[in-house]
Amino acid sequence: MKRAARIVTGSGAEVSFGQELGRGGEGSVFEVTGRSDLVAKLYHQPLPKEKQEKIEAMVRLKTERLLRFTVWPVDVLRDAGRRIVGFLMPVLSGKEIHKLYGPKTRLTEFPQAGYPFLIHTASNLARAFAAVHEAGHVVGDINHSNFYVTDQATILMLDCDSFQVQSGSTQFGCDVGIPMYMPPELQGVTSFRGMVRTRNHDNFGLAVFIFMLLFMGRHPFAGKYAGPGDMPIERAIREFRFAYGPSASARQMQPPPGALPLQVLTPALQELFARAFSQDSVKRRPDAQEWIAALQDMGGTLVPCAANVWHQYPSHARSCPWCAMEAATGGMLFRPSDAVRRPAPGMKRKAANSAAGFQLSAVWTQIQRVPAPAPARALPEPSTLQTQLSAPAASCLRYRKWRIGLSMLSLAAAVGLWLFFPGLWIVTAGVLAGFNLLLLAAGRGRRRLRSERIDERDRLRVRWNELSRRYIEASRAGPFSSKLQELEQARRDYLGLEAFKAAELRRLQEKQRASQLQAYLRKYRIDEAQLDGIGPGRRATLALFGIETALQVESGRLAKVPGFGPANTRMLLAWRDRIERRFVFDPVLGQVPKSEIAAVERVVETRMRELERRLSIGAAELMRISAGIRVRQETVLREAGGTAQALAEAELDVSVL
Amino acid sequence: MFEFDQIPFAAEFAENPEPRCPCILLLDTSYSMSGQPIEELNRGLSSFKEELMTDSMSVKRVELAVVSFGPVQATSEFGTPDDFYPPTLTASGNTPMGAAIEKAVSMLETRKNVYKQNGISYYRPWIFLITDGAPTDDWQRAASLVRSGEAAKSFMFFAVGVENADMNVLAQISTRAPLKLKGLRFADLFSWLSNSLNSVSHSTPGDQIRLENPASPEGWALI
Repeated sequence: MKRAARIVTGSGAEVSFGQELGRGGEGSVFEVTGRSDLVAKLYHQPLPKEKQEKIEAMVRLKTERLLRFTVWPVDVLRDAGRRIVGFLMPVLSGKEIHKLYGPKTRLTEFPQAGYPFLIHTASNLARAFAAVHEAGHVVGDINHSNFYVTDQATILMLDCDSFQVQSGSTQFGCDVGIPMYMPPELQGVTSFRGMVRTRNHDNFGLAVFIFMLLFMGRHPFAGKYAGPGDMPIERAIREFRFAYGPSASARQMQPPPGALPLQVLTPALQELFARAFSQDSVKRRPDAQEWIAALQDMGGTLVPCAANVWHQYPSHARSCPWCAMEAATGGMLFRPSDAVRRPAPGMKRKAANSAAGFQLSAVWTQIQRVPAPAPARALPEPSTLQTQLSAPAASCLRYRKWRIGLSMLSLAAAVGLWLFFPGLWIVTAGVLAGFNLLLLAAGRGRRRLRSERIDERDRLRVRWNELSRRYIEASRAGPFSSKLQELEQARRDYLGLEAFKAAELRRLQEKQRASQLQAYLRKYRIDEAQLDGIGPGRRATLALFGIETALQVESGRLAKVPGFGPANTRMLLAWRDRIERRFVFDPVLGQVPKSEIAAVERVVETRMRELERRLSIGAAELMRISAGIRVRQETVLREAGGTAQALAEAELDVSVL
Repeated sequence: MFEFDQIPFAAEFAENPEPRCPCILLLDTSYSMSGQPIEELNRGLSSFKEELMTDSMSVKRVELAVVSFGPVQATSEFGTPDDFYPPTLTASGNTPMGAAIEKAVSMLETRKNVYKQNGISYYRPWIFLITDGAPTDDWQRAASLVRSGEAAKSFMFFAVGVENADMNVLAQISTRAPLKLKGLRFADLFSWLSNSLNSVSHSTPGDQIRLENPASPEGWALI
């Protein structure tokens, strides 16, 4: 990066910057030229005096212990006016913590991470908090992007310049915070500026992150709320509605469906969570030391699941909770059971340093075993479904029977009346007509019902057609087959790696031979050669055109020499040919340098690891896509089921009414 | 008889329990959009997905759905950006904007219920309307749905007019001032939308988010 001003460290050494590695709201992080262990954060805006002092103080307060857990500022960066414009810090490694606790990203970003890894990360997070607290500081701005996890489950905290820093009697504040990780007593705060943050505040955030690590990314205050309206996380925090706690149901909360039950954890951890999120927690929450002890204890009780080597759970749970959760939700929490890690007996490892026990055949079998998503089934025509009349239609029909019966009765009565009292025919006819008119009026209810049912039927038919379309849409296997194709390509590439490597090595060998041949040809000078018919004049002309040794004798070059005829050209070429035929490659001299072979091997190995990684998680990814399609299908089907039944009923009603 | 199996709808939430920010794109595919406008719109849609994919939090928290009109249809159901396959829209038919808005509002209600059933927290949803015409159906009911939804903070409704859109009607439907797209700068519009959704997905549900002003001189819109 080009910066107009000269930037120097605390000791006055000039610093130059490489690539921009990241950009945030406050500043950017750059490579430092010549230092692979350090990076520089430069602020976009001039810093207020207080912030400059804070950074100076932080550099003074750096300790070995803090640097083990954080990317703490190690040196200030000043501009020409001695103002602090940034600082140097250790280079960051690892990945954001949310990529580990969220199962979907865990499968791809931390494919080897099982429950022990999660527990281990949780206790390392607690250690990091302990280190910051013991030095007198407070993390303050706790959030999902500020903790990085390495593949050894160690933690690095970043954005340390936002910490609340204690320097002697001076306190530099933390002005920010994300409400969903803030304790109840800080909910509803409009500005953190000037507010004193405490370890007890931090301990809430610590408990939330430990919870998310142990509970597959679930937030402790996100649950099913039985009351009316919404229950946003901040409100739930403010009102102590811990969804898994002993008083959850009293607070109208319950854990989300398919979540890990709190009871799976050891009693000590259950108790810590209950305390961390209770009403009394405002006074004192469990601290890092308590968490570390309880987490280590639980780590010691883990037992493997019989069905899946990637499943491990606390021994006091009666059966594997992960199997139960995966079955209940259709989701995948850890890698599927596989043979990848257990090399089959008698199978020799390949010469190339394949990652521990990777076996293409086993992995590929797994991939092939993933069932393709079910193609769309033919949905039944709703009118063929067995059904009964709707209640109003049935009662209407019952009344119709009565009406017809009464009508016949009235007719019979009228005929009887007329026969016995012919004189009263006007009365008889009147009674008959009047009575039947009344019945007719009652029958209008039926016609109204019929037209209602026709409307309903048409509405349902439209809905049914829409659902059928959505069902077909949901069944599209496109994403599945493109993923499968991608994996097939990866497999082909993997199988082709050996051939690729051999070809590369052959190319290097060929290069050696070519350069030896060149050196050999260069030794035969034209001016020293026995060449009849090519006198000194001609030789001088050739030399003018750069043709001095057998190496340069090529038909293309000779053609450019004026006055050099075809006969002479042929003769010269034959001369070179004779020399070349006498060339013997010296394999000792012509050994391919080790560094070049190593370079090829490195390329091949990187590629191999990448392909192995992609293939290893391939089955899981396919399974996820397939399950996604299935779930979408089932959702539509469920809706379609109700609609089909209602439509069948409406059709039947219309036909009989 | 045909079986309609019942399985719980929790797989996507078990694997990714992050809070969700649902966003419905209401896209006008009436005949007047044919040619360059619809092409630019399609291109914008696929770059939209790419941009959302670059933010590791948006991939987990943003959920997109597309409703195109006319005729009104849900072209894509709600899904996180990695599960979102941008549709290729074709222009035909008239502009049943009223029905489209009603559909979007009801889809949001359904989705919110799914979240609640699964104990998933969510941000205030977005409805993003893009049109180049005037509604050809009755839009009064839709307008009152938008007003009451905005008042109850149950969603945010943004309207963007393209070329000859009837900005007058849009102003009557949307409680926020409708925006007029400069030329066919769909790419810039979607870039802005993905940035805005990124900042939402890094906040807490319920937070007030300050959005970048799209109507600044270098922005993609005019007020």
